[in-house]
Amino acid sequence: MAQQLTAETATEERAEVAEWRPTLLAYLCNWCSYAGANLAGASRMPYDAAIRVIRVPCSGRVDPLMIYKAFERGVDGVLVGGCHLGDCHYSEGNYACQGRMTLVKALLKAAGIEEGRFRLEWISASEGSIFQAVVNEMAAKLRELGPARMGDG
Amino acid sequence: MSDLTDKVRARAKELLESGEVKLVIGHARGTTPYRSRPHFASTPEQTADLIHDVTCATNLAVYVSKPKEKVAVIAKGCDARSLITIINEGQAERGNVVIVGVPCEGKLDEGGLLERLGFPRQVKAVREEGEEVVVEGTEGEVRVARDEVVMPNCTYCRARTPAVRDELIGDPVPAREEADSYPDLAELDAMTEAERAAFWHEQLSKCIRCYACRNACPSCFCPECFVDEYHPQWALHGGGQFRGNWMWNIGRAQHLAGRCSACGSCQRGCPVDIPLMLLNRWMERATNEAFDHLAGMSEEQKQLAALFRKAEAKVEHG
Repeated sequence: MAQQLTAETATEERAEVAEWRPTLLAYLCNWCSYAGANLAGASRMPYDAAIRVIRVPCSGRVDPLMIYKAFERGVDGVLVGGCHLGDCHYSEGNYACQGRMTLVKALLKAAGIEEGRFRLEWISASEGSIFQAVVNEMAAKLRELGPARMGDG
Repeated sequence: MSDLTDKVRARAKELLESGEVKLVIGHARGTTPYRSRPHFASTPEQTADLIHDVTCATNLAVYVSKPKEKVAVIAKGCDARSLITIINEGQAERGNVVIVGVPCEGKLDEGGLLERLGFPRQVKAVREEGEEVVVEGTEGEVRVARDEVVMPNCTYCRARTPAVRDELIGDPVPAREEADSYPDLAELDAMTEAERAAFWHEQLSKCIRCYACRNACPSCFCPECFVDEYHPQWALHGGGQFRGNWMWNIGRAQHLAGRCSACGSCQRGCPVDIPLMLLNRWMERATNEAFDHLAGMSEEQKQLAALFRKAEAKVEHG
């Protein structure tokens, strides 16, 4: 049922805006980073609730367009997590990812999206604590930067 | 008639008469004396219309698409770079393309020229004389320094003589010294992130999504472009939607990284004057710095994506 816009709901909406919270989208590779996130959860390590995880088969699966699209749709930051170099389940997927993300970083800079909004991290399945640290650091950075605006906000 | 035009005609005639190629792609005079149009000569007689002068800006590599027979292209440095790029990407067999190189000291930006001359003024002829462009009009001759009326990307050209070519008509000219210092990016570099975002918001809001940039680009040969896909729909359709326009132009810059020959055709084709070359040059600088990669500058070079492999990795990410 469509919510009626009354003075009351409008106030609520304003209150929501005031309490802005960042959205951090994470593309995590199935074999390492996702398992690392799982370990962080299973070990009851608290990490920031800003994160939204999309599991991908390999960090090499992450098409640069998937990152631009995320920013276009309004996320505040993007994290790409993969296996450490040399540990890729498919041998070289993370090398391909590394090369692509070099270009992504350059283009995001050209477009005027702050450096801290995008990170590529190698997180292994045993590095739950590193996952926790990365997410917390990034979420803190996003709070500092505020909502991602592409010149239109 | 300029010397270069005569030489181009003679060589094209020779190539067609001997049967070495089936088609010569070059330029002919356009609808006005300061414009040229692409010209396709398949008989020796048709070579009489070929010209080569300061107006021949169109990148002719865009007309080379999996030729079944041998074609010759009258190629400036940027055309040759594009040809090598698309040949490396399987869009043509090297044996089917004869790169007839011509030296180039910059091609005319018609819009800029007319603006400079003022309106109304009838232009009768345009020719090059040393470092100047001479415009003959109804109100006499006007002389302008070449650098002031050529396309911006010509003022920092690194391929004024085609780097890869089968032959060269005319004398080679050295690359511009500005090529590696990226003076065109200085303004963008000096901005803060927020200023850059605002700059692109202003520029990309103008985009009407006519895709003239895509059509003019030799490197945009995909049968289906990412922007035409509906599932997933990468960029919302229709002009005037800033975020959709942003997605299109950023996505295009990503796909052209390490493949752009800096010919400036996209920017020249843009009806709303978006400085697209800034994005392309930005990415050229990035790929040059990170992977020592410059599109189409040597025949042996690998595609940029091939440099992402383990064996090629230069820097290990921390």
